[in-house]
Amino acid sequence: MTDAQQFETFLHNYQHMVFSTAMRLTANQSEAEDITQEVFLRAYERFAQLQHSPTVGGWLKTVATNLSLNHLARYRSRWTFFSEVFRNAENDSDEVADFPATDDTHQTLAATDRRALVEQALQSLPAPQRVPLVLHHFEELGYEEIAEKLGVSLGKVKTDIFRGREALRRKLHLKLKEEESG
Amino acid sequence: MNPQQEQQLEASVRRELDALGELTAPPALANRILQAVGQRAVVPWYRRAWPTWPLSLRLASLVGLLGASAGLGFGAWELANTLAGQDSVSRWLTDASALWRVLGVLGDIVRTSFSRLDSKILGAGFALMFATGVACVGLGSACVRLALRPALNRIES
Repeated sequence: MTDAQQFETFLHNYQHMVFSTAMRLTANQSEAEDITQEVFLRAYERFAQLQHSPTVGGWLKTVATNLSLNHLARYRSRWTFFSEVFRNAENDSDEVADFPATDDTHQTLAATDRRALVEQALQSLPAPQRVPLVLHHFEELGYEEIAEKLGVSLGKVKTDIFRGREALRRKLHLKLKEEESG
Repeated sequence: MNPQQEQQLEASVRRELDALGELTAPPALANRILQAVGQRAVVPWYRRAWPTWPLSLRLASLVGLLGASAGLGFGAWELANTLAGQDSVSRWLTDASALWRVLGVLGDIVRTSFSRLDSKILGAGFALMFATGVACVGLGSACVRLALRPALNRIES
């Protein structure tokens, strides 16, 4: 197998993982595609070392995460000043992933539909809630690591993750046991 | 929300997120990446990032860069030593000190003028300057906001 073929196989094996990471962090498909492309261009430059490395998945995830966070930081500093007010107003709405809230919703929805709704609800969260939540659940980072990566306090990370979970619960009409019994 | 409810919330959200699995990349993305990789592969070494240069060229460029830095440092040191002893430099220093004295006299004139002006006139002058500055910031913000609108729409869509 030639190097080009090996790289193509490598790309097909890992593209979904890299795209998922970028997509969940940026919540924007075209930006996630750009980031995925950049990750694989960097991987290509050091493919000789990477192709036999057992930690290649971790390397790709880390690069995708860092590029996504850099992108979010750059993008935020460019236009947050003028757009934050409008964005926050949009995000206050919980209608994005809403669906009929019957008791047996969980059972009646097909699994793929359910996943699509959860994905949509996740992507509709405002970035300050979505990013730490994604880093915690999907990248399995601890609160301290997230705070360090994002350059915010530990308390803010905990609060944002809690708010993110709470927003997801509202959007998906998840019920806690005590609410169910009450 | 009590700690027990918080744990339940975490568990139920985790259950939902764990069920998600990986997203599927768009089918065209792999081809796009392979095209970009192909384009990058034909770019000559001197137009690529330094870490991707062949090892021998990286070493040679490093040696060359160190030599150039050392040469520049040595050259600057020698030049400074040579110029320090020349008449043209001492003349230049004399001119600079004369200019400094002139600036000092001008500063004294301005200070004296301000001390003789009425405080109301001074206040009005400063207020006018402040209002002009605020107007500039406001107009600039409005222009930037208008300029950013298309980018904002692209990001939001």
